[in-house]
Amino acid sequence: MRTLELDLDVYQGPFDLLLSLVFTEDVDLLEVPLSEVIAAYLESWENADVARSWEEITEFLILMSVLLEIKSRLLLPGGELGTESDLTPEQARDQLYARLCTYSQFKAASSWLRERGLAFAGCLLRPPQSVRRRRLAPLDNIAGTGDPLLLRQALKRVLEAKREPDTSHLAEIRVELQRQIRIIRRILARRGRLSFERVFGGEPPVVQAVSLFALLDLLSRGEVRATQARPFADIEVRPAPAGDGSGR
Amino acid sequence: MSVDQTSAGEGETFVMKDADSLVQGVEALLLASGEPLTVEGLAQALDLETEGGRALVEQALSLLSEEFAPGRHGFELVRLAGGWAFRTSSRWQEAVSRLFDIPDDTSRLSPAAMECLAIVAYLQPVSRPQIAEIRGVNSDSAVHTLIDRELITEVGRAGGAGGAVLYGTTRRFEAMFGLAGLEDLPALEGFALDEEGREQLRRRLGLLALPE
Repeated sequence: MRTLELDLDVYQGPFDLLLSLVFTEDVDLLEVPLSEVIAAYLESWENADVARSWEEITEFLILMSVLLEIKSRLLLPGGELGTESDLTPEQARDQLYARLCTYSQFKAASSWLRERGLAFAGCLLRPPQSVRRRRLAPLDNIAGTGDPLLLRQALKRVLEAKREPDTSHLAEIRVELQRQIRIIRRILARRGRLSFERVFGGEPPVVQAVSLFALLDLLSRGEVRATQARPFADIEVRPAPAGDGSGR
Repeated sequence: MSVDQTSAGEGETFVMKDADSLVQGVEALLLASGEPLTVEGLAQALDLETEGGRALVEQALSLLSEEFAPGRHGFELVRLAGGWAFRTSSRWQEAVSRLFDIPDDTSRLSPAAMECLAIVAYLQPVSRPQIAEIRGVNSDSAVHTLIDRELITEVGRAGGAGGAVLYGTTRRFEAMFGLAGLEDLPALEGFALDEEGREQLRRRLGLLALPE
């Protein structure tokens, strides 16, 4: 049988579908015409209130193709269907039966596991305490284990625990209102005037914003006067004349 | 509670003042740990790393497991994932889950992942092609999910280097499913279809005439 090239975590596979049909539907799949099964499915589809998911439809299609292949092998003499397999129809049937039996075992085992997992979900150990990391075993205890994979895993755990998170993609921007105020005061003291665009125009937006707050702060204190020819034009800042408490 | 201290033997670096101290020491370590502790780990912490010392620790554990047997307290001492741990009793699950948000790890695993997990648990070490063969479908995605959840891990390669990666279950798997070890898994044969199921399967597949 062709191996299905599907890789979905949720998809259960053709054996699951086949088994569920065998045990839940009251129909001998290979004894009734498959067209009837398909017709019945389509009928139930039309009668259903909600549209079926693509997933469900796909599963049905896969199942039908599996059944068609098996049935074709049964019906055609000599098992000459396709070139992928040298199996006779009898062998194909036997193999499918054996594989379904094996699969059903693990399916049942997985149900048992799930029930057990659910049963123990609320039985709690004390949570691991990150503040109290367990000491590593002395070297003598692990030397000579002779199992490189074990050592590799242990080393991986240790290194992963110590690895600093990578923050290289984060640009570090340091900006403080007080610092921007000091910068403006210093430039004004030295040059007597300041072009906002020239001093802060090349800075990141957040620095520009904080610098503007600094300027507004200085304006409200009456320390500076600012002029702007038109909206979005450069702001020219000068120290306020002594005794002048207003800014523009 | 008492422990037969004489089994420690001559020259034992046994610092416990009395047998009860050892039991208390084991108790303290189990309470401090967030994960199951092995006899070796306990013996190491108690400075009893000799055969006699490990026997003493086992004796103490045996006494403690009687004292904290299921049903006697709100928590119990259990063998779990190759070690020993205190665990809250299943009787109080409901109350515990009212107070704490319990991670629903099992429900979050898809049926496909659960099937893969069962296959790895029973057949380990097992490769991805072997898993796919049993399930009749590519199972790489489910296998990755299980690796991410640290329920299975690489344990080697088939036929040495260059062969298919082989997977086995982890201690976390045992802890999550309340298993002392893999020996706690019921026999796989117990999950086989019964005679009625096999007959139904044969009949539905049109195989009734065939011998099994």
